Amino acid sequence: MSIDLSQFHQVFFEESFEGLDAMESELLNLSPDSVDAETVNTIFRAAHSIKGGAGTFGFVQISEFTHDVETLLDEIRSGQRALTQTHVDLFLQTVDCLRAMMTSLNDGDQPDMTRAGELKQQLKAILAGQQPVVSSASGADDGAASNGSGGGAGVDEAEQDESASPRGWKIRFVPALDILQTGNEPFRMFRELQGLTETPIEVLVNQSALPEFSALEPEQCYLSWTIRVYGEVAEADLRAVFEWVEDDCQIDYIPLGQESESDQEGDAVVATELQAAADSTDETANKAADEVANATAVEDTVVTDTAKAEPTVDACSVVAEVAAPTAASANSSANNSAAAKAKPSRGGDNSSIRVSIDKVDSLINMVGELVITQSMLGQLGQDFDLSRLARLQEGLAQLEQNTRELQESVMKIRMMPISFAFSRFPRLVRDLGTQLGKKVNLVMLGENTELDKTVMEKIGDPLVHLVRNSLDHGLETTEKRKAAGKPESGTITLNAFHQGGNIVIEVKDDGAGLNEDKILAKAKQRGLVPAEASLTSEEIHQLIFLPGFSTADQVSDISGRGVGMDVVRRNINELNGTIEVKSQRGTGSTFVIRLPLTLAILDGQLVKVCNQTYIFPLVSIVESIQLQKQKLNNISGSQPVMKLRDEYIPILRLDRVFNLRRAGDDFDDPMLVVVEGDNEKIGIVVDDLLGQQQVVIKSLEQNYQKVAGVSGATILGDGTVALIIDISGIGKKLEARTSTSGPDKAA
Amino acid sequence: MGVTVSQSVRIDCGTRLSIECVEALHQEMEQAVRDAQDIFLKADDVQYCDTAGLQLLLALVQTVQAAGLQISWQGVSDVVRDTSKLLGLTSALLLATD
Repeated sequence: MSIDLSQFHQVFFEESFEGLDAMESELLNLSPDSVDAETVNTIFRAAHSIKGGAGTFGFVQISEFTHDVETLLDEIRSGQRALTQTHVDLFLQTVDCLRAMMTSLNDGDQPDMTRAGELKQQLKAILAGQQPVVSSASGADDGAASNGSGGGAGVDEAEQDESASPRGWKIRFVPALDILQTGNEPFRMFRELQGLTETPIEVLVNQSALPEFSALEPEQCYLSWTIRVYGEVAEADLRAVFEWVEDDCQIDYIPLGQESESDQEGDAVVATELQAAADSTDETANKAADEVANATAVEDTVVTDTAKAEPTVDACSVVAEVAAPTAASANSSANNSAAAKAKPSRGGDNSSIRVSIDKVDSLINMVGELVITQSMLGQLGQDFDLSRLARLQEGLAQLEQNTRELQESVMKIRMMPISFAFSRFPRLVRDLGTQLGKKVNLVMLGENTELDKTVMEKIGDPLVHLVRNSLDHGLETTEKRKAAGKPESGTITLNAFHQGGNIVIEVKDDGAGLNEDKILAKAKQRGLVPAEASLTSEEIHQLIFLPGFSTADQVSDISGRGVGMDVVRRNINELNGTIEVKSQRGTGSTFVIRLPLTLAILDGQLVKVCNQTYIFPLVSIVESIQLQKQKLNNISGSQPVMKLRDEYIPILRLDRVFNLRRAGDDFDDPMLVVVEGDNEKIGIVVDDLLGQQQVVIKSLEQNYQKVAGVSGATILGDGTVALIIDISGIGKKLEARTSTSGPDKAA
Repeated sequence: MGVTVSQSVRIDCGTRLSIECVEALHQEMEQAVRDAQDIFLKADDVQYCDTAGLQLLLALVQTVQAAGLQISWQGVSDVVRDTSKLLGLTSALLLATD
C-alpha cells in the first residue's frame, strides 16, 4: 500500500518556512567574535530538518542545496572551521534562496536554480578551502543582502563595486493584475527611478495583455514595462523603489551589458514590432512616428531599433509601445523566478493556522457546556409547564452565555502573537542600516500581543514601510547624530499593546522628527493647503498622509516622509483602523496605528432606509443629527452640501445610491449620519437610526460578488440580511457621481 | 459626460482621471464606442491621473482605431502628458504631436 505524500506537502512547506525564519533570526544573532554554540546548533538543526523533509518528499533541488549548507554548518559547530562574517552573509543569502525555491515549489512551479547554483559554488569553494566571492553578480539576490555588512575575508572589492554600480540597469516590471487596487502606482515608482539618475530613463510599455474594451476591468493593471536606468545606480536603490510591491509583481534587475542573448533578441522583437505598430497606426500616429524618428529635440521619442535604445548624454526620455506579445515578456517570466522573494507566496499564506492546544481545549470545554445546556433545555421542553418558566429562563440565559463564550473561544483561535509580523524587522533593519551606513538599535516590545491573523497579514506591508521610512528618513546619519549630541546609534522601537478593544502598534524613532516648516511649505507649494493657511502642528503632521504629498520630490530631508504614506493610511483605513503621527523636531517621531482586534466582527450602527436595514461601522460615525433641509445648499447647482459648524460636508442619499424604491415621495423627517472615511466627512441621509450591535461580517464577494459601496453583509436576529456600508467606497461613489453625472438632489 | 456632436462623441475626462473614476468612465466610453463615428477626448481639465485612467484611454484608443474610427484630443492637461510620459504611453495615446 503506498501513501500519497502530497497530502503532507503543505505541512512540510509551513514547517520549512518556519525553519527558515528561525535560521534567519539566529543568523542575525550570530557574531563571529563570540560564537554561541547553541545558536549554531539551532541553525544547523533547522537546515537539517529542511534537508530531511525535502528528501522525504522528493524535493531534490532543496535537499541537494541544503546539503552543502548543512555540511558547512556542521564543520563550524564541530569546531573544524572558524565562523567568519562571510559565512554569515552567505548563510543569509542561502536562506533567501531557499525561501524563493520553496515558494516556487509551493506554488506548483519549478524553482529557478540559477541563484542556487551560484551559492552552491560559493559554498563548495569554502568547503574546498578556497576563498569565495560573496557577490550578487546575477542580480538575483536580495539587494540589501548584497550590500550587507559583508566585508569578510576574500570578498573581491573590485567585483563588488562593479556589481553594485554597473553603467545601468534594465528592469522588467510585470505587476500583478490587482496592483492598482492596492494603491500602488507604477508612475510614482518610475518617477522615483528617474530621481536616482540624471540621465533620462527609458520606459517601454507592453500592452499585449490589454483585453478587448468590453472585457476590460478598468481597475486592473494589464500593462507591464521594461525600464532602462542609466548611470551608476546601486541595485539596492532600485529594489528600494519596488520594495513596496515586490510581492505584487514579477521583477527582474539586469545589469546593462549582462543581458542574455535572449534578452537582446527580445529587445529586437520589441523594436521590430514597435516599428510595425507605428506603421499601422493612423495618420496622427504616423505623423508622431515621423517626428520622433528625427528627434533628439522632441520630448518623447520612439525606439525604432535596438541601436537607438542606447542613450546619449542629451537623449530625452524615450517612450514606446509594444503591440504584441514578445519573446521579451516570456523571457521576463522565466528570469523572474530567479529573483529571491523574501516571503512565502500569498497562496501559501492563508492555507492553515497553528493553534495552541490550550485554545483547542478551551473550545472543547465550551462545546461541552453547550451540549449540557442544550440537553437541559431539551428535557425541559419535553414536559414543560408554567411552573418551570423560571428554569427555562435560566436555561436560555445559560445558552446565551455559552454562545458568547464559544464565540470568544473561536475568535481566539484566529489570534496570533504580533511577533509573526515583527519577525521580519531584525533582518530588514540590519540590511537597511548597513546599506545606509547608519547604526540602528531595534527594540521590539509587546511581541506576544495577539491580533487576528487576517489583520496581521494586512498590516505587514504598512509596518515595513513605516520602519523603512523611519530608518531612511527619520534617523539621522551618525555624523549628524553626534553633532546633535545624540548617541551614535539611532533607536527604532516597535511596540504593540491592547487598549480599549483595539490593538495599538507604535513605530517610534529617535531621529530628526518631522520638519513642520518644510512640510507646510511643500503643501502650500503643491496647492494642498491655501497659501495663507496657518495650521497647528497636528494638522501639519496630517499633511504627510495626503496623496498629493506623497508625490513630492525628494530634495529635502523631509520629503521622503510622505512617499507612500497615503498608501499606508489607506491600507490601515481598510482594516477599519487609524494612524496618527506624533513628532517633535530633533527628538523623533512616533506613528501610532490603532486596529480592531478582528475583522470578523464589527460594532455597527443599524439604520433604516426605505424598508431596508443597513449597517454603518460605528468607528466611522462622527455624529448623527436630524437633517434640516433648509441648511442644504447646492454647490454650482450640483452637489448638495450642508454647513456643519465650521465646515461644509457633501450630502449623499443612501436610497439613491442603492436605487431603493420609496413608498412616498420623499423622506419623512430624515436623519443625517455624518461619517468619516479617507479623512473626509460625508453626510449620509437615512430614514431612521435603529440600534447599535455587534455583527458578524459575511463576505459578499465569496457569497455573491463585489458591490461598490458595500463591504459585506450580516444576518440580523430576525433572519434578514443587512448590508454593511463601506465608507471609503461610498466616498468614491460620491466622487464618481459628482464627476460624472452631476446633481444629486438631497432630501 | 458624453456630448453628441453630429456623428461624433466628445468624452470629457473631468478633473480626475484615476482609478476611482474609471469604472464610470469605462461605461460611458463603451456607450460612446457603440454609438459613435468619431471620438473626441477632452482632457484639459484633468488635474490628477494615474495608471488606471491612462490604461483606460489606451484601451479606448486601440478599440476605436481597430474599428477604423477616428479618435482625437480636444485639449490635454500637462498632468496627462507628464504621467503618460512617465508610463511610456505618449506615443500609444497619440499625444506626441498633440
